[in-house]
Amino acid sequence: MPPALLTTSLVNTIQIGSLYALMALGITLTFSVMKLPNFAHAEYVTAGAYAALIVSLSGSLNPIVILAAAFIVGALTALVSQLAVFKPLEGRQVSFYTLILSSFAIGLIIRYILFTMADYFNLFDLRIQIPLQIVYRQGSLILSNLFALVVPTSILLVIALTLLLNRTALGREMRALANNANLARVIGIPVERVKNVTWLLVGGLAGVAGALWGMQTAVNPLMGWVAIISVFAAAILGGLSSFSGTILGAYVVAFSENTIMLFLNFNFGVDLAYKPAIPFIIIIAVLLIRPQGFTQLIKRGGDLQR
Amino acid sequence: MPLLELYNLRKDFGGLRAVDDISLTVPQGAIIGLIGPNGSGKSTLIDLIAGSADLTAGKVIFAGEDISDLPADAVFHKGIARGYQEPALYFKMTVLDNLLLPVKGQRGEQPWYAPRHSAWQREERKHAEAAMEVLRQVQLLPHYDTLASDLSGGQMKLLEIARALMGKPKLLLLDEPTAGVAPKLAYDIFQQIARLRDDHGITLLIVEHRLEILFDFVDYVYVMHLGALLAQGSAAEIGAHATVREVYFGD
Repeated sequence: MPPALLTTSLVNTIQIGSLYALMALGITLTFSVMKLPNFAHAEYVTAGAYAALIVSLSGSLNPIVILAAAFIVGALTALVSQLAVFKPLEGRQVSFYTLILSSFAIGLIIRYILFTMADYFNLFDLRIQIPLQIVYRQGSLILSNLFALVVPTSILLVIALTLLLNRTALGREMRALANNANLARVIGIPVERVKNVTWLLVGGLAGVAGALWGMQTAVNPLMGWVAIISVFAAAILGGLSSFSGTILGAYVVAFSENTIMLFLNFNFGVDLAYKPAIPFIIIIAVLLIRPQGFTQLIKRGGDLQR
Repeated sequence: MPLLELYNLRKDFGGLRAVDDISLTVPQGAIIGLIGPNGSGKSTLIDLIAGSADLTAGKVIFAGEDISDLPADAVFHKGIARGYQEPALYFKMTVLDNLLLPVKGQRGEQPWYAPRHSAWQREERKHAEAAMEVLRQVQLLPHYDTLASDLSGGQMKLLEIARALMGKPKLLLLDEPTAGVAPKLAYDIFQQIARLRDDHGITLLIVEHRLEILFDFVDYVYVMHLGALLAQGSAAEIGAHATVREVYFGD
């Protein structure tokens, strides 16, 4: 594999891995705090991307405005799915499987609302209008302004989320909820409010990830759904309960999909069409060999359950 | 005036009646014992009062207010705290963090304040100082930075009591506060409990199997058997009660 290709694939690994981390942390957080593997998470990503697209099309190219709009729309979509569906279902003490299925259902509903909207306003496969330029070039290493936006933004948000979880009263209550929700209620923690805030955070981060994603590819109603399996693979690698494990998982999945895939293609002629199979292989391998993922393997910071 | 009044409480689990038509009162400032053989419904009754289980029928009146339908977190903030038979703590958090969790209305739990350290730092320090004061009272102060899982069984019980104190409760429900605790420490725990009443004016309802210790401290005792009230009276009366001796001690 030529070095130039290796460099490019590593740049992609970092850029895409950062986005996976942003989305996968949301999955880990919902799973820990709400005990819900939420497949509708994909649609918070797409909703955020469309919010960003619409803002950018209506003339504002300021990345902060675009990302803020994506955060707000993603957050509200998540909160609505909690208040309208998950909370009433929990009140009826339905099984875990009912909750998973309902998350698929919510995802489908949001996705087809977005389809209808995209169809009506003709918003298929448009890129969020940040002008692309090269900010750094050294031999075969080429970094765009997009890389300079995506990677630091994701890393800063991940750090902020970790600090929030470990240093604030809100984070303390989220950890308590993750650990023992019944006890949380008995000692007077406002469980519903903590859950709502968690949903806002999770949806907001997914929305921002969607906006950043839509700047490098194109926005369409399926984009979140296409990414969600990779994102779940990252979260499962992290054992669905560890922040550091999830972040590591995100980069491992991105590395497998980019660098390893290219390596296999170049040296062994494996068709690039197999790329979507990689996250599935990772998920199955982890569940078979090491269901707890990276937990207990790495020294942790910001974990929800140990 | 009674602090807590229960009227005809009933709890069914499917076909099983765990609590059967219980009515009792707990006067302000009293230490009340609740005893009975295993499976007599004592812990379920505690769950019903604390809002951890839903009533099948009946009424719970606390300080003159009907709290029958309130969820557990609302009941806690009305002034009813509880401890468990098996200590229920956040074992992977420090002793201090366990005490800060129940504090109501913290600024740092608001999403718009939480990201700004300066907005809640001073308040958090104030809460931490209050927590340290409570730890001093239950003699856990040296352990404030210890993980709860590293405490001894007796210390875990004390931490539960300390956590309850953080909510400034009027009524404390304790389910076997000395279960699994060495006899010497068991007596210490009861002395701490008596001090809660004497120094803080907290009313107590205590489920306990170690009657020899319990009877030294209680003002009044209720006896449950098969979900129903079997007897009530002072410790001396219950100790001499023929039917109670029969179901309880088997003599």
